Amino acid sequence: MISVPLEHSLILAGMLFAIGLFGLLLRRNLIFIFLSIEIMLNACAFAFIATGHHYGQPDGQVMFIFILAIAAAEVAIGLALALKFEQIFKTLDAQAANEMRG
Amino acid sequence: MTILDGFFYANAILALITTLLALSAQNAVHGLLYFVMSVIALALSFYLLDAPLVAALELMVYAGAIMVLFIFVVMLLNIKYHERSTNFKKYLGPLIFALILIVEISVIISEITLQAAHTKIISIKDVAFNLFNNYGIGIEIASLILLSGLIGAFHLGKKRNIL
Repeated sequence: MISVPLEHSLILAGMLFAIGLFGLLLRRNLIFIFLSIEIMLNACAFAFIATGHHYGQPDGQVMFIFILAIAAAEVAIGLALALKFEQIFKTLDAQAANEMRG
Repeated sequence: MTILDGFFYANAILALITTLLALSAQNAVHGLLYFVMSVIALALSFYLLDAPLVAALELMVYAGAIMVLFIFVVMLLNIKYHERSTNFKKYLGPLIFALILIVEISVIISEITLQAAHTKIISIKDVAFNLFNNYGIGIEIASLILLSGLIGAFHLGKKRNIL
């Protein structure tokens, strides 16, 4: 439907991934950390779709379905962990869990 | 360069801006809503990249299921919010972004009847054929990951005092 060069799509995917990575490293709130991981997964999916479109193959979309399954499983476990974290430490600050047990 | 190419770049800029805003928001719900906007922009880009199945899945699973899960958790955690502001300027940015997305969606829907005939779209049938023929082991692994995710979430959700 459109004819943009593959490089532009890949640059966009790379920039989105970089934003997600910086968010992951800079934010301390657990919700935002999971959001950053989602953004990085989304950027990977975008790179797959753009490449699949460039080569005219359905493999990119197949990979997107796998990424979707992984993102869903990851977010279920991650948010359950966040709930547990809040029960124990009474905060969502990831810095609160800087001590080992015993 | 057609108008749809321009839409692709507009979507790209919109996705970058809203992603940045999502990760720099103070309020978790605001961040999640900005992320929904970024997901919608990316879904439109997928549609423009001849992948309508992926666009629909992105909207349903990301903006639908995963974001609802996030918002449920935010509501369960009962985070303290600042007082509600009635300042109109705060709504101006999201309003403009939403307006751009609405205009794009309406124009794309009207354009599609004109030029869908002579473009080669990878059909859902191709994707499903490839998925179940060449990536069978991938499906098995994905189902295992989903099952382990289910069991893990159930285990973590039980009421105990330790992780």
